[in-house]
Amino acid sequence: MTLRLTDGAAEHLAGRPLVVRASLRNGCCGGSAPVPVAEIGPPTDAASFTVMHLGGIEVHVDPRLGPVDGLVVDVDGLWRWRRLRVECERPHDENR
Amino acid sequence: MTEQETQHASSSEGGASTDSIDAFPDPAAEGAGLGVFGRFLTIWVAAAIVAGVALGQAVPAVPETLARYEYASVSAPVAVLIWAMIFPMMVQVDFGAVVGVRREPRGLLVTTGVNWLIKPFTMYAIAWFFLLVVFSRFIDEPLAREYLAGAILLGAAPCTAMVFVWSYLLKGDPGYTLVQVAVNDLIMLVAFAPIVVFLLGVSDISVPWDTVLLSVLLYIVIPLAAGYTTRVVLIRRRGGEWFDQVFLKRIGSVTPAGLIVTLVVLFAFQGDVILDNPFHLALIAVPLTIQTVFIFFLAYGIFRRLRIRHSVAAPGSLIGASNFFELAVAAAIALFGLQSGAALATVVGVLVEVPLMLALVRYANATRHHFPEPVRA
Repeated sequence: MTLRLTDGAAEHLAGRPLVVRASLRNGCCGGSAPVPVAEIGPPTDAASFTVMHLGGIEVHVDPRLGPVDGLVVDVDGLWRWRRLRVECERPHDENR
Repeated sequence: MTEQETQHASSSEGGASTDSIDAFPDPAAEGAGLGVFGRFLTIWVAAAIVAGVALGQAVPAVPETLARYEYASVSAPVAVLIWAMIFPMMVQVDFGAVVGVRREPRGLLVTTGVNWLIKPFTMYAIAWFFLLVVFSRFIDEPLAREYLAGAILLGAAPCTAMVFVWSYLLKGDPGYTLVQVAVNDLIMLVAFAPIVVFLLGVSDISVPWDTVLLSVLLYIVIPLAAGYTTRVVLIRRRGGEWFDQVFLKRIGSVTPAGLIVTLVVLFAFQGDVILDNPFHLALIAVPLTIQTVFIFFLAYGIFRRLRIRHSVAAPGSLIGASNFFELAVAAAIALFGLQSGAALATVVGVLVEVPLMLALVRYANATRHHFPEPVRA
Protein backbone atom coordinates (compact mmCIF):
# COMPACT_ATOMS: atom_id res chain seq x y z
CA MET A 1 0.00 0.00 0.00
CA THR A 2 1.32 3.39 -0.88
CA LEU A 3 0.41 6.74 0.57
CA ARG A 4 1.00 9.88 -1.40
CA LEU A 5 0.78 13.44 -0.24
CA THR A 6 0.22 16.01 -2.96
CA ASP A 7 2.07 19.32 -2.97
CA GLY A 8 -1.21 21.12 -2.25
CA ALA A 9 -1.86 18.96 0.81
CA ALA A 10 1.72 19.38 2.04
CA GLU A 11 1.38 23.15 1.66
CA HIS A 12 -1.97 23.10 3.52
CA LEU A 13 -0.43 21.07 6.35
CA ALA A 14 2.51 23.49 6.65
CA GLY A 15 4.56 21.02 8.68
CA ARG A 16 1.70 20.02 11.02
CA PRO A 17 1.11 16.31 11.64
CA LEU A 18 -1.44 14.43 9.56
CA VAL A 19 -3.88 11.69 10.56
CA VAL A 20 -5.34 9.32 7.98
CA ARG A 21 -8.00 7.35 9.78
CA ALA A 22 -11.12 5.28 9.24
CA SER A 23 -14.43 7.07 9.75
CA LEU A 24 -17.09 4.41 10.21
CA ARG A 25 -20.37 5.00 8.34
CA ASN A 26 -23.50 3.01 9.22
CA GLY A 27 -25.89 1.80 6.54
CA CYS A 28 -29.62 2.33 7.03
CA CYS A 29 -30.26 -1.37 6.26
CA GLY A 30 -27.54 -2.39 8.71
CA GLY A 31 -23.84 -2.88 8.12
CA SER A 32 -21.08 -0.31 8.05
CA ALA A 33 -18.10 0.80 6.01
CA PRO A 34 -14.81 2.49 6.85
CA VAL A 35 -14.32 5.75 4.96
CA PRO A 36 -10.74 7.08 4.99
CA VAL A 37 -10.54 10.70 6.14
CA ALA A 38 -7.54 12.98 6.63
CA GLU A 39 -7.23 15.50 9.44
CA ILE A 40 -4.62 17.86 10.76
CA GLY A 41 -3.02 17.03 14.10
CA PRO A 42 -1.92 13.89 15.92
CA PRO A 43 -4.59 11.31 16.87
CA THR A 44 -5.83 11.10 20.46
CA ASP A 45 -4.56 7.57 20.81
CA ALA A 46 -1.35 7.74 18.79
CA ALA A 47 -0.21 4.33 20.09
CA SER A 48 -2.75 2.50 17.96
CA PHE A 49 -1.66 4.26 14.77
CA THR A 50 1.26 3.54 12.46
CA VAL A 51 3.55 6.56 12.35
CA MET A 52 5.54 7.54 9.30
CA HIS A 53 7.40 10.55 8.05
CA LEU A 54 6.62 11.75 4.59
CA GLY A 55 8.39 14.73 3.09
CA GLY A 56 9.08 16.11 6.57
CA ILE A 57 5.49 15.60 7.73
CA GLU A 58 4.53 13.18 10.50
CA VAL A 59 1.77 10.92 9.18
CA HIS A 60 -0.37 8.73 11.49
CA VAL A 61 -2.12 5.92 9.60
CA ASP A 62 -5.09 4.11 11.15
CA PRO A 63 -4.80 0.30 10.86
CA ARG A 64 -8.63 0.12 10.86
CA LEU A 65 -8.61 1.46 7.30
CA GLY A 66 -8.48 -2.12 6.11
CA PRO A 67 -7.13 -3.12 2.74
CA VAL A 68 -6.68 0.04 0.69
CA ASP A 69 -4.38 0.81 -2.17
CA GLY A 70 -2.95 3.99 -3.63
CA LEU A 71 -3.97 6.32 -0.81
CA VAL A 72 -3.66 9.92 -1.98
CA VAL A 73 -4.09 12.82 0.42
CA ASP A 74 -4.98 15.99 -1.43
CA VAL A 75 -6.70 19.26 -0.65
CA ASP A 76 -10.07 20.48 -1.95
CA GLY A 77 -11.78 23.85 -1.92
CA LEU A 78 -10.65 27.44 -1.90
CA TRP A 79 -9.48 29.96 0.69
CA ARG A 80 -10.83 29.18 4.18
CA TRP A 81 -13.00 26.35 2.82
CA ARG A 82 -9.99 24.20 2.03
CA ARG A 83 -10.02 20.70 3.49
CA LEU A 84 -7.99 17.56 3.17
CA ARG A 85 -9.46 14.65 1.32
CA VAL A 86 -8.39 11.07 0.79
CA GLU A 87 -8.67 9.20 -2.45
CA CYS A 88 -8.04 5.48 -2.55
CA GLU A 89 -8.77 2.21 -4.27
CA ARG A 90 -9.69 -0.95 -2.43
CA PRO A 91 -7.86 -3.92 -3.92
CA HIS A 92 -10.28 -6.28 -5.63
CA ASP A 93 -10.30 -9.85 -4.40
CA GLU A 94 -11.90 -12.16 -6.96
CA ASN A 95 -12.96 -14.55 -4.21
CA ARG A 96 -15.06 -12.01 -2.26
CA MET B 1 3.99 2.96 18.98
CA THR B 2 5.01 1.35 15.75
CA GLU B 3 7.55 3.59 14.12
CA GLN B 4 8.16 2.47 10.59
CA GLU B 5 11.05 3.15 8.41
CA THR B 6 10.16 5.77 5.86
CA GLN B 7 10.76 4.86 2.27
CA HIS B 8 10.74 7.90 0.06
CA ALA B 9 10.36 7.66 -3.65
CA SER B 10 10.21 11.06 -5.21
CA SER B 11 8.24 11.32 -8.38
CA SER B 12 6.92 14.08 -10.56
CA GLU B 13 3.34 14.41 -11.83
CA GLY B 14 2.51 17.35 -14.04
CA GLY B 15 5.33 19.33 -12.52
CA ALA B 16 4.18 18.66 -8.96
CA SER B 17 6.73 16.84 -6.85
CA THR B 18 5.32 14.11 -4.62
CA ASP B 19 6.63 11.52 -2.18
CA SER B 20 5.43 8.00 -1.72
CA ILE B 21 5.87 5.73 1.24
CA ASP B 22 5.04 2.15 2.15
CA ALA B 23 2.42 1.63 4.81
CA PHE B 24 1.05 -1.59 6.27
CA PRO B 25 -2.52 -1.33 7.49
CA ASP B 26 -4.29 -4.22 9.14
CA PRO B 27 -6.07 -6.13 6.38
CA ALA B 28 -9.20 -6.56 8.49
CA ALA B 29 -11.43 -3.53 8.69
CA GLU B 30 -13.38 -3.93 11.93
CA GLY B 31 -16.98 -4.95 11.46
CA ALA B 32 -17.19 -3.56 7.92
CA GLY B 33 -19.63 -4.88 5.35
CA LEU B 34 -23.32 -5.61 5.26
CA GLY B 35 -23.56 -7.53 8.52
CA VAL B 36 -26.13 -10.13 9.55
CA PHE B 37 -28.99 -7.66 9.92
CA GLY B 38 -28.47 -6.14 6.50
CA ARG B 39 -27.90 -9.43 4.72
CA PHE B 40 -31.21 -10.81 5.96
CA LEU B 41 -33.15 -7.54 5.92
CA THR B 42 -35.86 -9.02 3.71
CA ILE B 43 -36.55 -11.66 6.37
CA TRP B 44 -36.69 -9.08 9.19
CA VAL B 45 -39.02 -6.87 7.13
CA ALA B 46 -41.26 -9.83 6.31
CA ALA B 47 -41.31 -10.77 10.01
CA ALA B 48 -42.17 -7.16 10.92
CA ILE B 49 -45.08 -7.25 8.45
CA VAL B 50 -46.43 -10.48 9.95
CA ALA B 51 -45.94 -9.18 13.51
CA GLY B 52 -47.59 -5.87 12.67
CA VAL B 53 -50.60 -7.45 10.99
CA ALA B 54 -50.98 -9.90 13.88
CA LEU B 55 -50.71 -7.10 16.43
CA GLY B 56 -53.30 -4.97 14.64
CA GLN B 57 -55.73 -7.87 14.35
CA ALA B 58 -55.21 -9.29 17.84
CA VAL B 59 -54.99 -6.00 19.72
CA PRO B 60 -56.87 -3.38 17.68
CA ALA B 61 -56.53 -1.00 20.60
CA VAL B 62 -52.85 -0.50 19.65
CA PRO B 63 -53.43 1.24 16.29
CA GLU B 64 -56.50 2.99 17.70
CA THR B 65 -54.49 4.42 20.58
CA LEU B 66 -51.60 5.45 18.33
CA ALA B 67 -54.01 7.17 15.94
CA ARG B 68 -55.23 9.41 18.74
CA TYR B 69 -51.90 11.20 19.02
CA GLU B 70 -52.19 12.95 15.70
CA TYR B 71 -51.51 16.64 15.13
CA ALA B 72 -51.94 18.35 11.73
CA SER B 73 -52.31 14.92 10.06
CA VAL B 74 -48.99 13.82 11.58
CA SER B 75 -48.98 10.90 14.00
CA ALA B 76 -46.68 11.91 16.83
CA PRO B 77 -45.47 8.35 17.72
CA VAL B 78 -44.79 7.61 14.06
CA ALA B 79 -42.96 10.93 13.63
CA VAL B 80 -40.70 10.03 16.55
CA LEU B 81 -39.98 6.61 15.01
CA ILE B 82 -39.21 8.18 11.65
CA TRP B 83 -36.83 10.68 13.23
CA ALA B 84 -35.15 7.74 14.94
CA MET B 85 -34.61 6.24 11.48
CA ILE B 86 -33.53 9.38 9.66
CA PHE B 87 -31.49 11.35 12.20
CA PRO B 88 -28.65 8.78 12.53
CA MET B 89 -28.27 8.90 8.74
CA MET B 90 -28.27 12.66 8.53
CA VAL B 91 -25.72 13.01 11.32
CA GLN B 92 -23.29 11.07 9.12
CA VAL B 93 -23.58 13.39 6.13
CA ASP B 94 -20.40 15.40 5.84
CA PHE B 95 -21.51 18.54 4.01
CA GLY B 96 -17.95 19.83 4.07
CA ALA B 97 -17.25 17.21 1.40
CA VAL B 98 -19.13 19.28 -1.20
CA VAL B 99 -15.96 21.35 -1.67
CA GLY B 100 -14.77 18.31 -3.63
CA VAL B 101 -17.35 18.76 -6.40
CA ARG B 102 -14.71 19.89 -8.87
CA ARG B 103 -12.96 16.56 -8.53
CA GLU B 104 -13.89 14.20 -11.38
CA PRO B 105 -16.96 16.30 -12.24
CA ARG B 106 -18.11 13.89 -14.95
CA GLY B 107 -18.81 11.23 -12.32
CA LEU B 108 -20.89 13.64 -10.28
CA LEU B 109 -22.74 14.89 -13.36
CA VAL B 110 -23.77 11.35 -14.31
CA THR B 111 -24.94 10.50 -10.79
CA THR B 112 -26.89 13.71 -10.23
CA GLY B 113 -28.29 13.72 -13.77
CA VAL B 114 -29.55 10.14 -13.49
CA ASN B 115 -30.84 10.67 -9.93
CA TRP B 116 -32.75 13.88 -10.50
CA LEU B 117 -33.46 14.23 -14.22
CA ILE B 118 -34.21 10.62 -15.12
CA LYS B 119 -34.91 8.37 -12.13
CA PRO B 120 -38.09 10.03 -10.74
CA PHE B 121 -39.67 10.10 -14.19
CA THR B 122 -38.81 6.53 -15.19
CA MET B 123 -40.11 5.36 -11.81
CA TYR B 124 -43.37 7.14 -12.54
CA ALA B 125 -43.59 5.73 -16.09
CA ILE B 126 -42.70 2.14 -15.17
CA ALA B 127 -44.94 2.08 -12.07
CA TRP B 128 -47.84 3.67 -13.97
CA PHE B 129 -47.50 1.16 -16.81
CA PHE B 130 -47.51 -1.89 -14.55
CA LEU B 131 -49.88 -0.79 -11.80
CA LEU B 132 -52.50 0.95 -13.94
CA VAL B 133 -52.21 -0.94 -17.22
CA VAL B 134 -50.63 -4.40 -16.94
CA PHE B 135 -52.08 -5.22 -13.49
CA SER B 136 -55.37 -3.36 -13.94
CA ARG B 137 -57.28 -6.65 -13.71
CA PHE B 138 -55.86 -7.35 -10.27
CA ILE B 139 -55.77 -3.90 -8.65
CA ASP B 140 -58.67 -1.43 -8.46
CA GLU B 141 -57.74 1.90 -9.96
CA PRO B 142 -58.00 4.04 -6.80
CA LEU B 143 -55.72 1.62 -4.95
CA ALA B 144 -53.36 1.38 -7.95
CA ARG B 145 -53.01 5.18 -7.87
CA GLU B 146 -52.10 5.01 -4.19
CA TYR B 147 -49.43 2.42 -4.97
CA LEU B 148 -48.24 4.66 -7.80
CA ALA B 149 -47.93 7.53 -5.32
CA GLY B 150 -45.72 5.33 -3.12
CA ALA B 151 -43.54 4.46 -6.09
CA ILE B 152 -43.21 8.15 -6.97
CA LEU B 153 -42.05 8.91 -3.44
CA LEU B 154 -39.45 6.15 -3.67
CA GLY B 155 -38.22 7.43 -7.03
CA ALA B 156 -37.77 10.98 -5.79
CA ALA B 157 -35.35 10.08 -3.00
CA PRO B 158 -31.99 8.51 -3.84
CA CYS B 159 -30.12 6.40 -1.30
CA THR B 160 -28.10 8.17 1.41
CA ALA B 161 -26.56 6.03 4.14
CA MET B 162 -26.50 2.62 2.53
CA VAL B 163 -24.37 3.94 -0.34
CA PHE B 164 -21.29 3.71 1.88
CA VAL B 165 -21.86 0.00 2.43
CA TRP B 166 -22.53 -0.64 -1.25
CA SER B 167 -19.42 1.38 -2.10
CA TYR B 168 -17.37 -0.70 0.34
CA LEU B 169 -18.64 -3.97 -1.16
CA LEU B 170 -17.82 -2.61 -4.63
CA LYS B 171 -14.30 -1.52 -3.62
CA GLY B 172 -15.42 1.99 -4.45
CA ASP B 173 -13.58 5.21 -3.71
CA PRO B 174 -15.08 6.15 -0.33
CA GLY B 175 -13.87 9.75 -0.51
CA TYR B 176 -15.74 10.25 -3.75
CA THR B 177 -18.83 8.56 -2.29
CA LEU B 178 -18.76 11.17 0.50
CA VAL B 179 -18.95 13.93 -2.11
CA GLN B 180 -21.74 12.20 -4.05
CA VAL B 181 -23.87 11.70 -0.93
CA ALA B 182 -23.39 15.28 0.29
CA VAL B 183 -24.32 16.74 -3.11
CA ASN B 184 -27.36 14.46 -3.45
CA ASP B 185 -28.66 15.35 0.00
CA LEU B 186 -28.35 19.07 -0.71
CA ILE B 187 -30.25 18.65 -3.99
CA MET B 188 -32.87 16.57 -2.18
CA LEU B 189 -33.60 19.53 0.10
CA VAL B 190 -34.86 21.61 -2.82
CA ALA B 191 -35.85 19.01 -5.44
CA PHE B 192 -37.83 16.38 -3.52
CA ALA B 193 -41.01 18.41 -2.95
CA PRO B 194 -41.37 19.91 -6.47
CA ILE B 195 -40.72 16.54 -8.15
CA VAL B 196 -43.21 14.75 -5.90
CA VAL B 197 -45.91 17.40 -6.36
CA PHE B 198 -45.38 17.47 -10.13
CA LEU B 199 -45.50 13.68 -10.59
CA LEU B 200 -48.44 13.24 -8.23
CA GLY B 201 -50.24 15.98 -10.20
CA VAL B 202 -49.52 14.18 -13.48
CA SER B 203 -50.96 11.04 -11.88
CA ASP B 204 -54.18 12.87 -10.91
CA ILE B 205 -53.33 12.49 -7.25
CA SER B 206 -53.76 15.82 -5.59
CA VAL B 207 -51.90 16.60 -2.42
CA PRO B 208 -51.84 20.04 -0.89
CA TRP B 209 -48.52 21.84 -1.21
CA ASP B 210 -48.53 22.71 2.48
CA THR B 211 -48.74 19.01 3.42
CA VAL B 212 -45.81 18.21 1.14
CA LEU B 213 -43.81 21.08 2.54
CA LEU B 214 -44.66 20.00 6.08
CA SER B 215 -43.36 16.48 5.37
CA VAL B 216 -40.19 17.91 3.81
CA LEU B 217 -39.75 20.14 6.85
CA LEU B 218 -40.40 17.30 9.32
CA TYR B 219 -38.52 14.50 7.63
CA ILE B 220 -35.73 16.22 5.68
CA VAL B 221 -35.04 19.73 6.96
CA ILE B 222 -35.38 19.09 10.70
CA PRO B 223 -33.36 15.81 10.80
CA LEU B 224 -30.78 17.32 8.45
CA ALA B 225 -30.40 20.48 10.54
CA ALA B 226 -30.37 18.47 13.77
CA GLY B 227 -27.84 16.03 12.30
CA TYR B 228 -25.59 18.79 11.02
CA THR B 229 -25.71 20.72 14.31
CA THR B 230 -25.07 17.59 16.37
CA ARG B 231 -22.15 16.66 14.13
CA VAL B 232 -20.53 20.10 14.27
CA VAL B 233 -21.00 20.54 18.03
CA LEU B 234 -19.80 17.04 18.96
CA ILE B 235 -16.77 17.15 16.67
CA ARG B 236 -15.83 20.58 18.06
CA ARG B 237 -16.19 19.36 21.66
CA ARG B 238 -14.99 15.76 21.48
CA GLY B 239 -13.05 15.52 18.22
CA GLY B 240 -13.69 13.70 14.93
CA GLU B 241 -12.20 10.44 16.15
CA TRP B 242 -14.55 10.22 19.13
CA PHE B 243 -17.49 11.19 16.94
CA ASP B 244 -16.76 8.45 14.40
CA GLN B 245 -15.55 5.68 16.64
CA VAL B 246 -17.79 6.17 19.68
CA PHE B 247 -20.86 8.27 18.83
CA LEU B 248 -21.61 6.82 15.40
CA LYS B 249 -21.02 3.29 16.66
CA ARG B 250 -23.46 3.88 19.51
CA ILE B 251 -26.24 5.14 17.27
CA GLY B 252 -25.51 2.68 14.46
CA SER B 253 -28.29 0.31 15.42
CA VAL B 254 -30.92 3.01 15.94
CA THR B 255 -31.88 3.29 12.25
CA PRO B 256 -32.44 -0.45 11.63
CA ALA B 257 -34.27 -0.78 14.96
CA GLY B 258 -36.41 2.29 14.16
CA LEU B 259 -37.16 0.82 10.75
CA ILE B 260 -38.40 -2.49 12.12
CA VAL B 261 -40.51 -0.89 14.86
CA THR B 262 -41.98 1.58 12.32
CA LEU B 263 -42.91 -1.31 10.05
CA VAL B 264 -44.60 -3.20 12.89
CA VAL B 265 -46.63 -0.07 13.74
CA LEU B 266 -47.37 0.62 10.08
CA PHE B 267 -48.64 -2.90 9.48
CA ALA B 268 -50.70 -2.84 12.64
CA PHE B 269 -52.70 -0.23 10.69
CA GLN B 270 -52.36 -2.02 7.34
CA GLY B 271 -53.71 -5.42 8.47
CA ASP B 272 -56.98 -5.29 6.50
CA VAL B 273 -55.27 -4.07 3.31
CA ILE B 274 -52.71 -6.89 3.45
CA LEU B 275 -55.21 -9.60 4.37
CA ASP B 276 -57.56 -8.49 1.58
CA ASN B 277 -54.80 -8.28 -1.06
CA PRO B 278 -51.72 -10.30 -0.05
CA PHE B 279 -50.88 -10.79 -3.71
CA HIS B 280 -50.45 -7.04 -4.16
CA LEU B 281 -47.05 -7.08 -2.44
CA ALA B 282 -45.67 -9.15 -5.31
CA LEU B 283 -47.38 -6.99 -7.93
CA ILE B 284 -45.93 -3.78 -6.48
CA ALA B 285 -42.48 -5.40 -6.37
CA VAL B 286 -42.45 -5.88 -10.16
CA PRO B 287 -42.16 -2.22 -11.29
CA LEU B 288 -39.89 -1.36 -8.36
CA THR B 289 -37.50 -4.17 -9.34
CA ILE B 290 -37.53 -3.22 -13.02
CA GLN B 291 -36.87 0.43 -12.16
CA THR B 292 -33.93 -0.45 -9.89
CA VAL B 293 -32.30 -2.65 -12.51
CA PHE B 294 -32.98 -0.16 -15.31
CA ILE B 295 -31.49 2.82 -13.46
CA PHE B 296 -28.44 0.82 -12.45
CA PHE B 297 -27.72 -0.31 -16.01
CA LEU B 298 -28.41 3.13 -17.43
CA ALA B 299 -25.94 4.86 -15.11
CA TYR B 300 -23.43 2.01 -15.32
CA GLY B 301 -23.58 2.12 -19.13
CA ILE B 302 -23.03 5.87 -19.23
CA PHE B 303 -20.09 5.58 -16.82
CA ARG B 304 -18.60 2.83 -18.95
CA ARG B 305 -19.03 4.83 -22.15
CA LEU B 306 -17.34 7.82 -20.53
CA ARG B 307 -14.50 5.53 -19.37
CA ILE B 308 -14.82 6.65 -15.75
CA ARG B 309 -12.97 4.45 -13.26
CA HIS B 310 -14.95 1.62 -11.67
CA SER B 311 -14.44 2.84 -8.11
CA VAL B 312 -16.49 5.93 -9.02
CA ALA B 313 -18.82 4.34 -11.58
CA ALA B 314 -20.13 1.40 -9.55
CA PRO B 315 -21.10 3.27 -6.34
CA GLY B 316 -22.45 6.12 -8.48
CA SER B 317 -24.72 3.68 -10.32
CA LEU B 318 -26.04 2.21 -7.08
CA ILE B 319 -26.92 5.59 -5.52
CA GLY B 320 -29.68 6.08 -8.07
CA ALA B 321 -30.67 2.44 -8.19
CA SER B 322 -31.42 2.28 -4.47
CA ASN B 323 -33.80 4.54 -2.60
CA PHE B 324 -33.95 6.58 0.57
CA PHE B 325 -36.91 4.48 1.61
CA GLU B 326 -37.12 5.83 5.17
CA LEU B 327 -37.92 9.23 3.67
CA ALA B 328 -40.36 7.67 1.21
CA VAL B 329 -42.14 5.78 4.03
CA ALA B 330 -42.26 8.97 6.11
CA ALA B 331 -43.60 11.10 3.27
CA ALA B 332 -46.18 8.45 2.32
CA ILE B 333 -47.47 8.32 5.90
CA ALA B 334 -47.54 12.12 6.16
CA LEU B 335 -49.26 12.65 2.80
CA PHE B 336 -51.59 9.67 2.60
CA GLY B 337 -51.79 8.14 6.07
CA LEU B 338 -50.68 4.95 7.78
CA GLN B 339 -53.42 2.89 6.16
CA SER B 340 -52.71 4.09 2.64
CA GLY B 341 -51.62 2.06 -0.35
CA ALA B 342 -48.80 4.58 -0.82
CA ALA B 343 -47.30 3.63 2.55
CA LEU B 344 -47.60 -0.05 1.63
CA ALA B 345 -45.83 0.50 -1.71
CA THR B 346 -42.88 2.24 -0.06
CA VAL B 347 -42.46 -0.74 2.28
CA VAL B 348 -42.27 -3.10 -0.70
CA GLY B 349 -39.26 -1.00 -1.71
CA VAL B 350 -37.61 -2.01 1.57
CA LEU B 351 -38.51 -5.68 1.02
CA VAL B 352 -36.77 -5.95 -2.35
CA GLU B 353 -33.87 -3.58 -1.69
CA VAL B 354 -31.12 -5.74 -0.23
CA PRO B 355 -31.36 -8.91 -2.37
CA LEU B 356 -31.60 -6.79 -5.48
CA MET B 357 -28.72 -4.52 -4.57
CA LEU B 358 -26.52 -7.46 -3.61
CA ALA B 359 -27.14 -8.99 -7.03
CA LEU B 360 -26.17 -5.70 -8.68
CA VAL B 361 -23.05 -5.47 -6.49
CA ARG B 362 -22.05 -8.96 -7.64
CA TYR B 363 -22.62 -8.01 -11.28
CA ALA B 364 -20.63 -4.78 -10.92
CA ASN B 365 -17.73 -6.59 -9.26
CA ALA B 366 -17.72 -9.21 -12.01
CA THR B 367 -17.61 -6.56 -14.77
CA ARG B 368 -14.90 -4.39 -13.25
CA HIS B 369 -12.57 -5.26 -16.12
CA HIS B 370 -14.79 -3.30 -18.55
CA PHE B 371 -13.62 -0.08 -16.93
CA PRO B 372 -10.24 1.65 -17.11
CA GLU B 373 -7.70 0.75 -14.46
CA PRO B 374 -7.25 3.41 -11.79
CA VAL B 375 -4.06 5.46 -11.98
CA ARG B 376 -1.88 4.21 -9.16
CA ALA B 377 -0.09 6.64 -6.93
